[in-house]
Amino acid sequence: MSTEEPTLGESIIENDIWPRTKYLIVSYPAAVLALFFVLPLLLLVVVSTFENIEGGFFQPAFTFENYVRFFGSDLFQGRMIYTLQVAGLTTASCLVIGYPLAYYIASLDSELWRRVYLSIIISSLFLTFIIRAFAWQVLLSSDSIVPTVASSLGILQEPVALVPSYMALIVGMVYVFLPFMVLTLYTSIREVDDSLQEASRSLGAMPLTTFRNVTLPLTKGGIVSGSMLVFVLSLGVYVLPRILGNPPQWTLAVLIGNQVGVEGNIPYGATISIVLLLVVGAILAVGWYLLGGERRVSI
Amino acid sequence: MSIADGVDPNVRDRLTAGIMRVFAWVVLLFVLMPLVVICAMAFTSGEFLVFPPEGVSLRWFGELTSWLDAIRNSVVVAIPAALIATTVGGTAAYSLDRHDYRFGRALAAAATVPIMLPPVIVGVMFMTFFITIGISGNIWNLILAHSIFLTPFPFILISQGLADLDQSYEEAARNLGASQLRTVRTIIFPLVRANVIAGFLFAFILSLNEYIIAWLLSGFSIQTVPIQIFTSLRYSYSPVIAVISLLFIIVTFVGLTIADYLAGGLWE
Repeated sequence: MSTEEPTLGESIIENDIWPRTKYLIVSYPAAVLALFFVLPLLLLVVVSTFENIEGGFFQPAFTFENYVRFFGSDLFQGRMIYTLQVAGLTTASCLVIGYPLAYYIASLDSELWRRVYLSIIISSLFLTFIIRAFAWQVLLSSDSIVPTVASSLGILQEPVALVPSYMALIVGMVYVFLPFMVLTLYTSIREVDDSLQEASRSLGAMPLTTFRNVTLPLTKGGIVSGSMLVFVLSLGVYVLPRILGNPPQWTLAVLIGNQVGVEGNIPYGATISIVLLLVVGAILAVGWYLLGGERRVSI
Repeated sequence: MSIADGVDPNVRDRLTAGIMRVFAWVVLLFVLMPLVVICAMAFTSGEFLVFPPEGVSLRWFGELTSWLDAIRNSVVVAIPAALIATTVGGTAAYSLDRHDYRFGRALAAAATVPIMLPPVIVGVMFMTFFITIGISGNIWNLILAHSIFLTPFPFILISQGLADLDQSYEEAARNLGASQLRTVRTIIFPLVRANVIAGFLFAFILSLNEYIIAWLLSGFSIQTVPIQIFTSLRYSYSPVIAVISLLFIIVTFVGLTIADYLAGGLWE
């Protein structure tokens, strides 16, 4: 707004009868967010250097002992790597399943059907993870439909419970995060100019060649943002490993929850939180860089 | 590709389209099945949660009475949390849209970032904060934490609404001598009302569905519906969990359909 010539209306707004209105309006959200978001976030960093006191309290210490403990412990190191692996496998699965699906929906001529398909995809998007994990627990339990069908098809020798397990966790994760991937890819695929694909086709390229040389490169932005989104969200899962997995399937977020909610060691929980935050931040930075690079190339 | 060269292009295209369609249906089945199963399980006459259900009855709906406290707590948290989130997000969106501030980018970031953080970290952050200032186990802690966590939804939705607004309406009102407050009340708010309500509904629904922040801040004394479901899953396996889930699915679905309609179709 400020870069353009001010119109009459704007100049009136800027030279209001009550010139402090501008700061008065913003003071409410700014104060709330500073006091209850920025301050607690800074406090979390500070408390990660504090000492734990029995019973869920802490006292100032300003040591890096918690960080030394984290990076010196095979258990926590292992959980960090495991969490990254789970997030990686979830992201890759979502991409492999989500891309063809998004491509198919985007290619439908009927707007009604596109809407129907998208509605189904997002139908469970905001439903609590607890209910969605619970649904898979029911589906994968021993007397239930998935093991029964799998055993009658000969995939399983007998209908045994498939939950809790690593596989159940991944199935649940893909189920929960697929919508984010599909929606991001769908938007990106819809933005591709149809005439480019037509041009490629009319010049004699096979559909697969057109896809590889035209559609895929043009939707690279969607692939990067969708993957980043799913990866970052996957890193934070707490409920799914608790319901669909055993302790070997627990991720870093579960460990944070346990440190704080069960062990009552808040400084150490804060430390693991900061480490996880830094990982999330680093991934977002890489994604930002990749997307920025993409934009430079396309110009 | 050499094999495909020998095939009639029409046959090949139709084959590809057929495979794609079957694939899409399989994935959609995968997406739909869990919720359908939960809804069906709510009507079982059996004692256990197995699919397919043993028979049809409404017996488990009667058990809902033991969930009334949790339902009340969830609503008591979600309404003020959504209200605070909407006022904070809305005023932030309005001031950033109409004025320039030196700290504008920082404010926009603070109003967008909370939802991107892993919820467990948001929970630990608020727990640390409330212990430091010496207030814990209070329902307002949870309300405040949810409002900050969910502020991004109304903030983004209302920002979009304001960006789409034709500024000439506002200019006309101002030129005719209306004060800024009156302009907001009579011109701007009615024009972005749908976005404001959609933002509120999103925040409300997400607060109802949020588990980990609520669990960490409840001081283990306030049960919301997700907390009670989680606890029940650990001790029993009763079909009443499917009934409460069905209720939640309906509320979530209806709320979001209205919000999506008001916001003008978020995904098309």
